[in-house]
Amino acid sequence: MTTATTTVADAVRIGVKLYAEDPAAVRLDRFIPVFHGWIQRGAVPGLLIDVADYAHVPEGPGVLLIGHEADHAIDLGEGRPGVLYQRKRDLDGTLADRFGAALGAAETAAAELEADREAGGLRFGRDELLVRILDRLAAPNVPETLEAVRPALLAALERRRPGASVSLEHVGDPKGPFAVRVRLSG
Amino acid sequence: MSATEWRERLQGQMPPDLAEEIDLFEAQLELRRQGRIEDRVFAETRLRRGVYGQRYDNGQRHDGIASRRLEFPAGDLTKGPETLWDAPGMVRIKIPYGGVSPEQLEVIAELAEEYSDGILHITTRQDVQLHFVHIDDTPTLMRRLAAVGITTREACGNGVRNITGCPIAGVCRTEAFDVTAYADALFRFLLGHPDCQDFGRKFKIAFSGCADEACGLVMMHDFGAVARVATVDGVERRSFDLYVGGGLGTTPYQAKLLYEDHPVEELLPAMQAIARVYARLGEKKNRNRARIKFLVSKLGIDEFRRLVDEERRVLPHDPRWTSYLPEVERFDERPVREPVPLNGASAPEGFERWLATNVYRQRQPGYAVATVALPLGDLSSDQARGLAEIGRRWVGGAIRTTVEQNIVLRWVPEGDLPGLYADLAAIGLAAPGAGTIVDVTACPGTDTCKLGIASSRGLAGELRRRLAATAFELDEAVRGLRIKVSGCFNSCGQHHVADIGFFGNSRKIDGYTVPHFQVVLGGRWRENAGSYGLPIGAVPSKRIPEVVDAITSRYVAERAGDESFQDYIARLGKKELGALIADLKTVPSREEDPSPYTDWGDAREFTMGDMGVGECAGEVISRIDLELSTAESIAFEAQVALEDGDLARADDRAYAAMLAAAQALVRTEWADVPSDPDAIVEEFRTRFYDTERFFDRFAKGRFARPLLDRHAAGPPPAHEAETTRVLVEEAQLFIDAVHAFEIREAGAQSALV
Repeated sequence: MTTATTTVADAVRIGVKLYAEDPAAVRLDRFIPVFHGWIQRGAVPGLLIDVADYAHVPEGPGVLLIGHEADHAIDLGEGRPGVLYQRKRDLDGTLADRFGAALGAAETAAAELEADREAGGLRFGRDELLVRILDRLAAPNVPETLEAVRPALLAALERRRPGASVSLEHVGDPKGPFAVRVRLSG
Repeated sequence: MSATEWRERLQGQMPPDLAEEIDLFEAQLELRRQGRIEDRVFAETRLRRGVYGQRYDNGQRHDGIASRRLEFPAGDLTKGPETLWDAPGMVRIKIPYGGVSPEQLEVIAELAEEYSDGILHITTRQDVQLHFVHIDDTPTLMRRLAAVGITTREACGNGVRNITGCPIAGVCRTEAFDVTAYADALFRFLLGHPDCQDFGRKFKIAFSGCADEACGLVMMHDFGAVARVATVDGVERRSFDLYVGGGLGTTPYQAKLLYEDHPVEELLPAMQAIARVYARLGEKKNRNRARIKFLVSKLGIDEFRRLVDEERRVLPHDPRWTSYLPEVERFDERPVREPVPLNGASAPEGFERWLATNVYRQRQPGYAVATVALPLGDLSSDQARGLAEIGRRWVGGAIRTTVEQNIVLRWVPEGDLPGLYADLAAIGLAAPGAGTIVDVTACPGTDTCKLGIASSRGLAGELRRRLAATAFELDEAVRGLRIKVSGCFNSCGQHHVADIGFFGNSRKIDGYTVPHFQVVLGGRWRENAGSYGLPIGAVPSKRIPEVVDAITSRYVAERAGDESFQDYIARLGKKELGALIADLKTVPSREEDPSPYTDWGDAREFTMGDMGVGECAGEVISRIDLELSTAESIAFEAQVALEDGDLARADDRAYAAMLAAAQALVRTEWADVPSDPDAIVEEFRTRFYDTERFFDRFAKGRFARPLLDRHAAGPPPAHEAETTRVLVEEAQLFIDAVHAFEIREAGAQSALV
């Protein structure tokens, strides 16, 4: 089964990042045992495979929990630590459903970490998100892609935060993947 | 918004041969899914495309409590023996002599991001590896690489691996001449070369511009070339000293001098002759004795040379042997910026330290090579994109990877170094300490390798962290030492040629397995990896930093004048060195201190249970089996074309599949069978058809007729659905008949034994 996609409506490789409220409190070495613990007890849905430590890479992927369907990470990208849920394959439903599933999985991961003493009492903000699609075929990094995904993304956000005011901004390196900064209020 | 598949989008951008090769691989994936290719054959096919297994791909993983089964959706479907289809794997991307353009770096960054984990890992063979890749994504990944001129072909498996070369070739102060063009020519000549398809093991080649520096590490290679130059009658004459039979692994061998002062015109045919001798006489059954170093050792270099000479005399002439020579100058890089002196103007903080360790003054006045020191050989996709842009801006794309897992930027005007440093610092790539004790090299080890015993990356990271904190306070003699770590005895971290080397093993203590590292001291990095280190004993993994402290402190205290580390280690001897680490071998009980019972960078209690069957050796598959597998793929393409209603393509592919199978069969008797269809059919007819050897007991020559008839008739003027369908089916029957013939012949041979 290939994961290649042909239009943005088929996009599966959706990532959602929630930022740590206190970046200075993020100690990456804590997350190696935390993520191994997630594998042991199946803390989050999906097939969880292994932990990859890239703490030595500045502003890199940090510490990753590698899964079959999705990866979870304490991500250091943009110089802003946060919890990242990155879907890789096997995501059904409409594009809004898939955005919703990724948003929900990221929030689940954040809540799991917030509840884990070993993670150091981290808190993650819920009013600012980074949503990205790692698929340059389906979602080229151009402003038109934002317009194409806007209705689905807004619908997914409305389901998760009914009544919230939402702003979407196309962000990131032009040669990087398509990414949208989401700000929510209310 | 609509988009096309990558294959369609990249049509015309990929070199046709690579495009076809990837189409075939994609067809083989489908055949394997359908169970129509044997597991072992597919494994070797996959490896020869650079698609490698990874730890836990047998579906078993110890999670720290118990060994558990990873329940992948594809279930028991495998992509090789004990290798589950869905299990993530590694893709190795060949970067010949480390040369990579900004555009190529950007594409690899994209692939790392979309199909891997956002990390590009530079290997000790100047490759780039992506980990945690699903096999279904590999054809697309390969197409995107092919579109920028990169291949993964023969990056793994029993073939010619990436050809390495000195990363400062062309700008080096001590080289005889720039070896780049020769390394590139040999890479292109050997890629997919028929004479390199029947090796019992992998084959590694290196080029060096001179004998004294480390650079190419020729002495630890299966085949290596060291440049030399002489002036004869006022004309510069280039040649190579050619070495053969070196290698690391469990049993390290130094390469032997095969030919001294060998003309550059004879480089490619010499290697071709070596390949033929190795393919013919090298060990095939026992993979532990199959590298060419064992053959050279067994025969002796003089007898090996005699065989190579003999083979060289009968090699059919190939114009490619010398056709590249007029193009050698094309590889001369030119700077994009004028040379400006470093004028002492104020520089960013940290610049001086970086300048002291990461900058090499080029032969060309006013220019320098800047080394980007990568921790553990890793950089993120964002950093790779940033580095590509920096490469464009400052050096016009003159970028190379190194066997020390770093990246160099060549042709930096010295006056631009502060600006370059500032740009690198902005993306976290301005760490000082390149080529020093801080710049620890490590193979992937237990992080991702199935053969890893101990965590080489975990240890290397820990050593780097500790040493970086004190690097500039260390004695200068210590600061220049090199540390290299392998996760097991297979030596991918090149520990044998380090001043201080380690390789992973384990010891059983009170019923628990404790990760250890064997300590190997005094290897010689210079002189092209001139000698190998002395193993002095195994120490628990968690006490290795103390080993480094103990050895370096004692060296500083007892060093006699300018005594080198190698000389000091030789003077001390194994007994004294063993005593030096004796106290560090003790392991407290688990109750007293559980930390030695886990490895660096891993929270789980240590286990050996996650080791798998390595794929470094590849599968020893006969050449005809591999070629018939290719023929099957072409036949599959014919079937797909038929289903799509593309009758012309179906006819063409069916014919091509039969030709490929016939060629494979002829090659069992004539290694140099040409690729010309007339020659293939003629040889097939005279050897197998006219003699009736190919005849089936009942069907006689029926299965061969479609090939002979289609060849004689040529493509039909108009393609009819029924005729084409029959030809597609006949093509498959012909391939099956070749398989059957091979089995009959093998039976006859075994009956004779």
